[in-house]
Amino acid sequence: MKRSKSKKIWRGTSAVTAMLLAVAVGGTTIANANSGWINTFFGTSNYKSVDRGDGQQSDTTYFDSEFSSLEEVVTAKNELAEQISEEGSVLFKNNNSALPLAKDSETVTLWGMNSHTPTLGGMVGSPSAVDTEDGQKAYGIEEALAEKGFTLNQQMIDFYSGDDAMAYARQGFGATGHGLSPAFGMMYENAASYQVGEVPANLYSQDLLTSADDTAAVVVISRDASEAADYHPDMTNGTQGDSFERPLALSDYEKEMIELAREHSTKVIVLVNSDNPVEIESLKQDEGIDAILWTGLPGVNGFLGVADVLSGDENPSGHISDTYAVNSTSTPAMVNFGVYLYTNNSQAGSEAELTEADKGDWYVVESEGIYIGYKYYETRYEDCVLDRGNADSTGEAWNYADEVSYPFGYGLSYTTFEQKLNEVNVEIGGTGTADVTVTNTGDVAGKATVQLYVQTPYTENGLEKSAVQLMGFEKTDILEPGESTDITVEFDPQYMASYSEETVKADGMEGAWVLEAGDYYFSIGNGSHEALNNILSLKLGSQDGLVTVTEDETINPDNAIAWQMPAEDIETYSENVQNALWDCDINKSIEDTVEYTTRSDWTKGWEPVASIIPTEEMMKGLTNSRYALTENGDGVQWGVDNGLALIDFMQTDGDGNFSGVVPLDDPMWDGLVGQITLDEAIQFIEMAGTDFESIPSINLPKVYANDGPVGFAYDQVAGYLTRWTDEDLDRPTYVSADDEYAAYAMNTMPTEPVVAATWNRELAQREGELFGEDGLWAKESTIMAPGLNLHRNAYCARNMEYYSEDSMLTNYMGVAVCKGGQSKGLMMEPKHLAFNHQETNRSGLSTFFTEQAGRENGLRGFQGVIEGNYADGVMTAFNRAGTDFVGAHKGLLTQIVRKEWGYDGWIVSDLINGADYMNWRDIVFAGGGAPLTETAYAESEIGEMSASKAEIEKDTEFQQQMKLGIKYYLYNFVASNAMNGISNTTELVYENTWWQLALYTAIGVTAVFTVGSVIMYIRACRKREE
Amino acid sequence: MSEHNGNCRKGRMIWIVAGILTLISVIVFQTVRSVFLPVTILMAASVIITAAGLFAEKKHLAPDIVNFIPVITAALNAFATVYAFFLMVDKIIYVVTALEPISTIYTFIAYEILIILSLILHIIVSFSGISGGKTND
Repeated sequence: MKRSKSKKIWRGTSAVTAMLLAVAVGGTTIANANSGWINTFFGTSNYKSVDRGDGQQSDTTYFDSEFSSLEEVVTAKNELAEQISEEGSVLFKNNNSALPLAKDSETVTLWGMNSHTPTLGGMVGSPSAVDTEDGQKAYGIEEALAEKGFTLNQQMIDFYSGDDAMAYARQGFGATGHGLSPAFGMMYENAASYQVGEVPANLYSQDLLTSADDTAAVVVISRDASEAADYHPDMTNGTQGDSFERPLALSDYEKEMIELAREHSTKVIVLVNSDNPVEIESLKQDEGIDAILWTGLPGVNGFLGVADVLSGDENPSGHISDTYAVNSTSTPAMVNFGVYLYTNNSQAGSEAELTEADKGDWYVVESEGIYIGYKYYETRYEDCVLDRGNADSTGEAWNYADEVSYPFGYGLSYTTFEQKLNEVNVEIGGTGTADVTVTNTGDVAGKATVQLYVQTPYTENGLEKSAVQLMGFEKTDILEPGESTDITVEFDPQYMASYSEETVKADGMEGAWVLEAGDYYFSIGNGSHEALNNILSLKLGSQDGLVTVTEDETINPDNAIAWQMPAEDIETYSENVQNALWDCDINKSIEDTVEYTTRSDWTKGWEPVASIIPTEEMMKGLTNSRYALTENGDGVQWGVDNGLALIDFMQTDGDGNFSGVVPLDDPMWDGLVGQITLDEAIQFIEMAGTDFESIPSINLPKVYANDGPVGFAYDQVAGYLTRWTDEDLDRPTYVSADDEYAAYAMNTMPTEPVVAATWNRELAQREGELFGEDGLWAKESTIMAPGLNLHRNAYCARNMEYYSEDSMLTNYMGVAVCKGGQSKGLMMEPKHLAFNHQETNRSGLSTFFTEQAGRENGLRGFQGVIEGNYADGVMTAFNRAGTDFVGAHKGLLTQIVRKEWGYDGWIVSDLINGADYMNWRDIVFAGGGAPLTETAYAESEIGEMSASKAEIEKDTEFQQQMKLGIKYYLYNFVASNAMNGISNTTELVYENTWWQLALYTAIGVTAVFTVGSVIMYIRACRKREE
Repeated sequence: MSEHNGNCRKGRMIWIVAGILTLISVIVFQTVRSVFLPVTILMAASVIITAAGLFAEKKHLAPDIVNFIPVITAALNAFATVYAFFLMVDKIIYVVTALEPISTIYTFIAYEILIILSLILHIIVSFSGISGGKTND
């Protein structure tokens, strides 16, 4: 009996220890395979930099901070955020000088549930965040106005913060101030609900309403924003009892609340807290609404700037970066938006040919052609005035005043300015300039924005042309009353050219940038509409039939200048150019699938493309069958010891600061890449993007990367402390755990539409510089920003990550931010190249458009940063261009980005979401660089890249593409702050981290106990038998 | 019927339940990971070995070896638990960034609960024993 008990005990103990051993071995295996992100999480590294020199290591700080403490960095960022919101707030309306408010004599009642729960930024990937545990503050409207000395109606604040009202508050995705539900997974119908979060009128007691009497009402209308979400016109209001016609129209509760504010206030000021244009025509027309101020989503400090604007401490100088339409769905870019399924989609039962793994079920046809935003409204307006193209006859008469509330680029000030366009000079192949005199004609100091537009010659039934397009802009310094200044707006005349797919150049290639012969009209104005009216009045010689939609609008033919192009030019801007996106036009694959919007007949282009049966060629893209590994070539050499290290490629000045990089065409680069082993190359490519893995053979340390457009994302790195190790103790920007600001969130800046609304490139560049400072103090070398996609329409809920509906404003702002970041050694990684204009079914969404539209809109936003190499890297999007994954679209990446734009930076995909369509094979083959991934391929049909090493070794072409892609990475790494701390005597040495040592110890201990238990069990069995 | 035989029957029942739980967890896991082989192979091996053990027990073959089989299946289940746990952590990243539905995580949690229950049962059986046979302990 004793023996029997002993057997049971030893057998049971064996089971327990064997289980622990299995856990330890399994855990260690998996942990080592994922050491990259585990090291990131713990702030550890498997490679230690060791100085093999004489110990007299020279200064290795190639990019240094301008600040001496983290406190200074945080303070500078907070101040900049406030300034951006001051200059980015847009005054739409200000009757009877209702603004500014008198802080000393006026009590303010904040109206609207969303005055208590405003939206500061977006959700998911690049949200706004603060480290509240350590005292970092997020300023909502209440807090900001109180901080700036306003007297607030506390009774109303108490009401909104009480349980009864809070029951109506937006709480989407677990965060107050958000009513959107990010689209988890794929959608087979348009989203159903959006919560406005307003309270019903019957909740306001008479006593509460009386408390607002004789106070100034500040009413807050708010819509939030999120990655992975969209608004949709068919949504219903998720707030109990409330309803709306569309989610971007005012809801019934909002209208009731505004009515109460009117009844109980001396004046009504409306704040529009939204990056998605809200329908506010009724507020504009309402005499009882005294002022409207757009704040956008201003980040955690921005409402402080808004408060300064409300009080008049700062004069608003922002201009809106989107058209505010009367009806947010009236643009042709809303005709095709949302969920559209191929007939053979994976859910189509017996007709299904696509599989879920293909991620190819969905498409969208951008039938509007080049006419998005103001390019539609203004162009159609001109054609109405000139009575051509059936412009005024879609069912009922089309009238600009019924279509647009506030035009693109519009904004008021507390003062008035007079602008005079003096002269325009254009040098084709060179630079263009416009000279403008600006005078402050009011009685308050303020800044003015000069906006320069151009109208290019249009021939009916010829190339599609927008009636006006932004060419350039400048912002003045503060002008005192009566003060004048001369401003020169510089622009690149290449952006005057239109893309023609049919034009054949002298080299025989199809596709060219065309400057047609004829009159080009340059004009300035307070927005696109005023600029166009100036042009029309000059062309027509009168103002008859011209429409104005804002009270301050002037029409002045003297502010338009004609410039003549004597002959057509198809060569100057067409070097290396050829059609590269033919497959993105669905009509090229299947004739007459879509009628695009066209000036030749405005009645066309209003039918959704409800059904597409993919052709065989399209199916190749949709089933990810474009490329395959084959046996070809003579092989490629890896792991050759050429005695080179990455640091050898950096050039420094006399002070030891970074001054340049060995040119990319120097053969030394091939020697450096040749040193890398194939295993290292595979690991680097497969694990690229989230961070970049060390490459010991060239002494490349781990390079850290992170989201996003409002600063490094807090959900991925918890403040400045995350990346530092003891090895970095001597670095001047090392942050210790004792630092008061060590855990502060960095993603605090206003969203991109607010930055764009400043029309101030200096501020944008400064923002880039402070992103760079964050990089130096957080040991981050890459930021996945800025977002350079366009606001195709008002309904994409991720518009907060992108600047504008206009490609040139996007282009200029992107260049400014990237220049700033690069000056601090931060690698700038703009995203999402390209054509990512809706979040609905973004993963694998086939996006169709004309090549002209793709190049003049979606790509032009990226062109400045890529062509000028202000981008170190570029992140591709989730969608497809045509039917090919955009990160593996050879025409886009190899022809346009590399060949036409001469890009020297790296390319990386977005986070792998659908490992078979975003697969490493296609990405590398097509010039997409590398996939941004963690472990996604382990579970996909293509499998991990390392598992295909044998096939890769036989494919010379593939390996050459690998080497080329890696070369671009290394070229930019050398020019980054990732090189700080590295000298020419530094070597990377492998060592186990503490967590690896702990795991190995666990294996040893559990193995000993398991073996011991088994032996004791066997002994007990044997003794029993004896 | 001796107390030993009663214990054996109980042990056998527990072992059968543990095997069925493992089998169900394989099926649950397949709904989210149809192509991820290591976990599937481990779990399938655990189910097969359990079935073989039950068969051997029925035939009264080598009871000391049969009684040791739950130790092996417990270890296999432990391996599978760890693998799946790491996959779940990875998946959380995708859910947080809204690339995958949160239901994916619920499936993982269901799987983990099933497999851990199964693991516990295997360990209990290891302690209690299953096989009677000639050398019933």
